[in-house]
Amino acid sequence: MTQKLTYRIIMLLAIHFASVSLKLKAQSSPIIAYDLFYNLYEEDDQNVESLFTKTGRITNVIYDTLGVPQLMTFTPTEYGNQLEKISSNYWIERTPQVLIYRNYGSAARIYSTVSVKLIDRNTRETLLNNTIQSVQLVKIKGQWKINHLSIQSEHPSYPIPEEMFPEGALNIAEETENKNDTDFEVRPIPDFNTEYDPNIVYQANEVDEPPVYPGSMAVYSDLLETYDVVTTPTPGYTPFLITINEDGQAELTYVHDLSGFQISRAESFVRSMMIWYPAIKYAASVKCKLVMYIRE
Amino acid sequence: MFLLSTCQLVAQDTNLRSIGGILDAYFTAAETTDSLARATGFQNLFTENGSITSVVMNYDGTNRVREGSWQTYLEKTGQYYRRFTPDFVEISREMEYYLEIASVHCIVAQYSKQNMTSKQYKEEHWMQFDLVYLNERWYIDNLLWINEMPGVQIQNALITDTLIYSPE
Repeated sequence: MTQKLTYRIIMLLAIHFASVSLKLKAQSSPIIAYDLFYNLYEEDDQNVESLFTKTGRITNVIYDTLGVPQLMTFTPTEYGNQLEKISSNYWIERTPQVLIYRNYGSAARIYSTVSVKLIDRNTRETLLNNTIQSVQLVKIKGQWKINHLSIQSEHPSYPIPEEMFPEGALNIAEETENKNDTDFEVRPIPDFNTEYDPNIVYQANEVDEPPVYPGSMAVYSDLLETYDVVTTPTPGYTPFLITINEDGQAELTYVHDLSGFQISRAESFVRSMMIWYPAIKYAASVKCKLVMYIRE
Repeated sequence: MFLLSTCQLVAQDTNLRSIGGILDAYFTAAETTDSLARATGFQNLFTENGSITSVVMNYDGTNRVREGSWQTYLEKTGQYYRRFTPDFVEISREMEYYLEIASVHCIVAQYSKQNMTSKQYKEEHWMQFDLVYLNERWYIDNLLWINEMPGVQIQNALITDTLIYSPE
């Protein structure tokens, strides 16, 4: 039944956005909405309800004294009250670790490990609990909202799989990379004559067919808008380069003029892209660079 | 007819210990045209607070989101079932799970046969099931689906990025 589709693992560092920028771009992408939720108490003008849909719910699986699982369901208000109640005695730190992210149109899913730390305000005693939190998001009136959140605490006898923590995820990425090297090796066909040079990265005006982003114009515009990127020189925007490789994968290739925060956003922007239709020259797919501009 | 459908649904209870079993049971219940049997099926499969959300992507990139309980969904879809007979075909499935929770992603083709004309319509969806394992079986706690957008394959919904969260 299960049909394995294209699976890619991309490592992303520094997806924690500066709080000022978060306020400006509140809930404009699933990741930002997710980030706002887990930094709830760092955002003084946010409340839990504003991050959820009207019928949004939180489902928490807990165990009774006999170890039998029980379901606790909260509305966002109830959940917020719970957090507030706990925070009167403890400092609460909820730190996401590894996120498995899916997004299509106005729906997204983030299945993640979240470490929850409760620090006693009086004794400084710390309680640490790892959880799996599966967040479903939908875009309503231009804002991403959490529609459903499932929480499962780690059971000491059944630890959360290693790959759901950063070190483990790195191992998986390495394995995938090696597997790709072995399974998908590309060899040139003998005696095939062409002027095609795989080492050349062409400019868009040098190729026969420039790269094309798949889907409708609206999808591409939405992506550009989400990350505040434009395709023509604009005051207040800094240029950077992306290369669309022969296989349609986009790659960030020149970021020297960008600030650290802009690089982080540009990385997210490129990572969010679907596979392009690559540029064509000499009747072959070729690498092509595109200049884009990101807001300062 | 209702009794027969109910018996079929009860017989499926034994399969609800597996994720495949509860998904199959959901599609069977959702294909049931008898409203009482369908309600019985949903009641058996969803948690008490279980919810259903549908996201319809329009051609111009705008969307329409409908959210509510599974009971509300049943009330609001009566007219659809009077006009159409649905058939769900699961094309692919991926999932993440840990202990008592699972997030299941399916690409599903929904065929709707118009009862008056026998004309058939097809739509493909990304369906997300949030499942919980209680009392030795799975329940659906939340279900969301979104339709395929023009020019963007619905299979893209299953492409995952693995991100490492790194605070400043």
